[in-house]
Amino acid sequence: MKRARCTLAWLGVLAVAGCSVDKLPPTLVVHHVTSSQAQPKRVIVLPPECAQAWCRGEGALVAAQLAFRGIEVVDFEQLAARERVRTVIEIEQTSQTGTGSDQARQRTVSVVGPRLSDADLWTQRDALGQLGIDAIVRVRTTKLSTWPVRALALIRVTRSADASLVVSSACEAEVSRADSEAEMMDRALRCALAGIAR
Amino acid sequence: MPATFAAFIDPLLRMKLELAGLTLADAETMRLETAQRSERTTTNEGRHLAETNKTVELSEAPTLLALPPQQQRAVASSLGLQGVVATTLLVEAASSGGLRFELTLELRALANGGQQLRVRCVEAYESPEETATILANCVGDGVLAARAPDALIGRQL
Repeated sequence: MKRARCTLAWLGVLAVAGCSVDKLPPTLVVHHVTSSQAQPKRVIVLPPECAQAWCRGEGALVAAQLAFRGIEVVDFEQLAARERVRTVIEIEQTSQTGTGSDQARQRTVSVVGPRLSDADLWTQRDALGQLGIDAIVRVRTTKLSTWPVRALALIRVTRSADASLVVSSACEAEVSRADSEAEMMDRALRCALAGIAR
Repeated sequence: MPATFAAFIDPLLRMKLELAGLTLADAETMRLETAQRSERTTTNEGRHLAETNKTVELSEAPTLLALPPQQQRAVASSLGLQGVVATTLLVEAASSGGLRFELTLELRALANGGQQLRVRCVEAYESPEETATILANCVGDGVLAARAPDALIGRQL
């Protein structure tokens, strides 16, 4: 009986070992361009291509890393393209009840007008110069739906004046099919960030 | 290109093009007119309850993609862009009975319309996700092999 249990346990260990395949270490490719021009001091991170919440998180992750390294990150979504109109309406209601009075208040704030992220491409291009933004950061991630599944992330910094490359870091990482897309992309992106941080 | 396939092909292809040293401007995100934004935040406060609702409305604005090719080139030139990348996905019946997918990428100079690069990959159909990924990766690696062989990344599919 004891021997049978022991055999079963060993079979279980072998089955688990057979099913778990080691993933290859991530592949990282980094291009640093040595130039006589000064390193960028003020940058914008372009909005992600996809609309999911985790895509916005990717941009925020890269922006945080750049800010930590002393680079000022300008967010076009926080800046007004021109004067915006703000209207506040407050409604207060008081009703008498047997035990006293009840109060209800509604406050509606409307803000109408574009932010720089909504502006046409010429306005955005002019804003780059006016705000002293010397580089543009593009973050791209994608999933390679093959076997094994891989996630690929690219962080690319180019000068806003002439689109010349400052640094580019790409990472391909094998990921698990059980992971969510956010987890897959996060793994590849953090690997690419390590290349930028060098 | 069908939207399903484009969703798998475009992100991977764009990434490989940038890895190959090209700086891309995405035509579908470049607005020709400023979009109108309207944000409304409503807060309701009662004796025991307070709730806040926020809505954001953004008007549709035409993008560079909406213009006819001739005008697209004019706008792109005015922005200092140097080339146009176009991809074509061709589907035809294979002699074996299945479907045969062919993805072609063309890079043309804006100045004279001359072809600078053309990469083509062919793959038998498996599923939209798998076939599109393999084709995009193949064409992307073709661009890398031609322009930046040292940036070829990862294992071949």
